Amino acid sequence: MDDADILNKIRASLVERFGLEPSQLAADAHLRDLGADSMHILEIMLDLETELGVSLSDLALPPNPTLGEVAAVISRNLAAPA
Amino acid sequence: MVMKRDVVITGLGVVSPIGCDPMELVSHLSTGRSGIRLCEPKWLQKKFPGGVVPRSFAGEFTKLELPFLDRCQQMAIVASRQAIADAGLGDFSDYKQRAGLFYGTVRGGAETEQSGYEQILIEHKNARPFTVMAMMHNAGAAQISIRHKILGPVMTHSTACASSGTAIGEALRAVRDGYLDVAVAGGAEAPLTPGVFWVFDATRALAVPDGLDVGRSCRPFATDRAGLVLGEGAAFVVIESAEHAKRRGVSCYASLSGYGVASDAYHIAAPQSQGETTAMRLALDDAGLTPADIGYLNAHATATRGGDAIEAKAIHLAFGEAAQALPVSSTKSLHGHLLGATSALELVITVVAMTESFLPATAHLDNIDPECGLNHVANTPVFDRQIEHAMSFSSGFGGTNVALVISKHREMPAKRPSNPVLSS
Repeated sequence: MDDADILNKIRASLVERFGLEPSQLAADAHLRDLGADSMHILEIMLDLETELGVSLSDLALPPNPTLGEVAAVISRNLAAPA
Repeated sequence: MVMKRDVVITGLGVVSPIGCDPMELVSHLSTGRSGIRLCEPKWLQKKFPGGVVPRSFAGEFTKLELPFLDRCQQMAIVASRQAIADAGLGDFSDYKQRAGLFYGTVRGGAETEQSGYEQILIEHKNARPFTVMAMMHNAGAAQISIRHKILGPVMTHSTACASSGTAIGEALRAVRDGYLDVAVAGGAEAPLTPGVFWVFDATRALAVPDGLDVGRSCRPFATDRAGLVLGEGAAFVVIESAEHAKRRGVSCYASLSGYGVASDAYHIAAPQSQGETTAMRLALDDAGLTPADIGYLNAHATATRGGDAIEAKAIHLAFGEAAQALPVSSTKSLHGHLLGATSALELVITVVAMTESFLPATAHLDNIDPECGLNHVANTPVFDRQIEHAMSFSSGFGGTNVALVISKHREMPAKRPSNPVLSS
């Protein structure tokens, strides 16, 4: 699963769970500008854990990350050796 | 003797089984329309009467906000917003630490907690990140303070059925003693969940649904009273010093003139007359009034066999001879027992009774229990009755008793709920 796939999954969750507008969800969109916060992203990450059957051990995000930065963190976790 | 600073009520907000604004409250009270309906909580194979607010508030919030908000906090936000707007306020940030919020609740996010247990025990799921924030008791207060930028004390009181009463009383002291210029005070409760019905049912204190009309299930002071009826809702007042209100150019509903709080130190569930009496007396002293000055008392009276009789005795002890003429009613007969929000709702009811010059009735009071002898306003409200001073009393499990006194303001222009609906 590449970063683009992960970004698309994040986008789909933000639309479906939190009612955000798809047009707002560019890779460089900052969470805070979207009205979302770390709790919303944590929720999506936990859903992804369940869906992908993985454990995301390192969920440290930069302050007010972009969607691209969130996808990169998840990607890093998936790539990490078991 | 230092003159006490005059503190006035400039905003009212309510979400309740008998109305979602003060005008609807007046309408329900004046026509005796009950907000008590049949509840069928999951898991319990038993039905209960409950004071139900017959609407969802989810539509008031975005999907981003909703995961954080139990129904308790949703109602708290809606009712407080109404009160704050009614007072002509919105964003308190300019007040810095001189604006405060005093909030009462018993269970906080009960529905969220209920779902949480189902998720652990039955579905074997993990909690969501929002769960703790939607459950915690101070969530209602926090959510209001965030939305309205209240930067001073944001306090949550949990004194059982006295919770929002002590919240309002302590808000009064904070404004009166000069710590704050303005305070929002009240409470919220959303207890109509299987878990809450389950635990209260175990105390054998809950009423069964009335066989003919579930709306009649709560019968305070009646010979055939059958126990308490849980209710949900939220109610808030905005209070400020009279000088502050005048500077803002706003009118007030009434002065919040007295607060008395006293504990029984007796039993974890059974009340005692002495603590109740003391709270009422302290409130009268605080207001600088005598028993004969009070023109209406909104009683706690939840319709339990023991509690109503003990409270009637307490009222006699507090008011002495004046108890013969003191009009008393328990409006729980129409809205049920809102637990942590009940003091606040009943204070708002007492305020509109004063502004609209009527005495709300205890509904379904066809046969008064001789053990509860008082000057009851029974079944039908009394209209065209001027009330100069009134008291609202609440008594909590664990023994905290609170009495609040309001008084007509002699100088400031009188505020009334807009377009009230009264029938006489």
